[in-house]
Amino acid sequence: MQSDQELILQFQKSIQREETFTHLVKKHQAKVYHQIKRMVNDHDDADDIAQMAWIKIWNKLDGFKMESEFSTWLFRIAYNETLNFIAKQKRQSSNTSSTDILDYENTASHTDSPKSSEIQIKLDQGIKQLPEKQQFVFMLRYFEEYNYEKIASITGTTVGGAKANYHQAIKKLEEFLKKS
Amino acid sequence: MEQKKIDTTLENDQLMVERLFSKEALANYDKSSSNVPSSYFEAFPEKLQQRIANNKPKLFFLTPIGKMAIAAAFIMIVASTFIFLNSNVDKNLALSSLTIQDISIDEIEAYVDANEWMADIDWQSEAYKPDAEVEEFYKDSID
Repeated sequence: MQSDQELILQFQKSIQREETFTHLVKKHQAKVYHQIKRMVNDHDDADDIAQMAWIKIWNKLDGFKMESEFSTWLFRIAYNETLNFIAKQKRQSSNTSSTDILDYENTASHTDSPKSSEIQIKLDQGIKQLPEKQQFVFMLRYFEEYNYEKIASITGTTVGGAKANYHQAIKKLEEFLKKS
Repeated sequence: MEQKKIDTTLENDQLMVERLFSKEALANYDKSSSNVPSSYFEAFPEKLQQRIANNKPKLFFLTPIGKMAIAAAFIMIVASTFIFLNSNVDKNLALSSLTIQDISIDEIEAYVDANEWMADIDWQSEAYKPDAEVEEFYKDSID
């Protein structure tokens, strides 16, 4: 299997651009999709955001200088697209947020029905109430097991900032559990 | 050693969460996020390429080939304008240096014969206009 760097060079030299790009997509699509889905909790929204992110990659790949890892750059674009989407959605439905939480609670309890428990619902709600940046950092660290350098590059903060975001997220989850 | 240190940090960070929520609950959370319709990832690259293709006319100008095509078209326009203007200057120069003495009598007679009928048509069309004053047309000949 070709490395990201080889595929990007091929793309930039206009050698079978579509085919080369498809290879890149196949290599990274699942991780990007799952990270977006964890944030938006809806397949259609996650699919749309993922497509937008990949279209941006297609448009900008000619100018990519490989100063960072491709996956870092890709996640950064996906992160920005997700934040834009969430902000847009918040503007559009600011008065229906309570219904959303209720819907989300129902969905969560239905999808995991056999293993569903109170703690599961609390976890869903606890993550949902975190600020988007902390949610993203938390998921990259806990589920993707990324190091803080990479998380900092993706979210556009310092390593210290990324660490602080993770620890703040844990603290808020702890407080949320105590309250509920 | 360095790798071990990083792994330990990650482990500690993960333990902080697992103190609050069970590993199982966290795994279930991730599992529910990972649910996708069947064949979604198989179909995704093709769907994406179609969406990209729909935007292609705009993108063509951004590709290296597109930029080269624009540059080539620009050079062609400049070159053809330059050639066209130069050829006109040459013709004008040739015409301005021509005098009546340079044209033979035969050539002048042939030109007059060939264009005489056109002068007649012009004259008649003016004369038969409804508001035309006939005297105006005969004025020259009367004078």
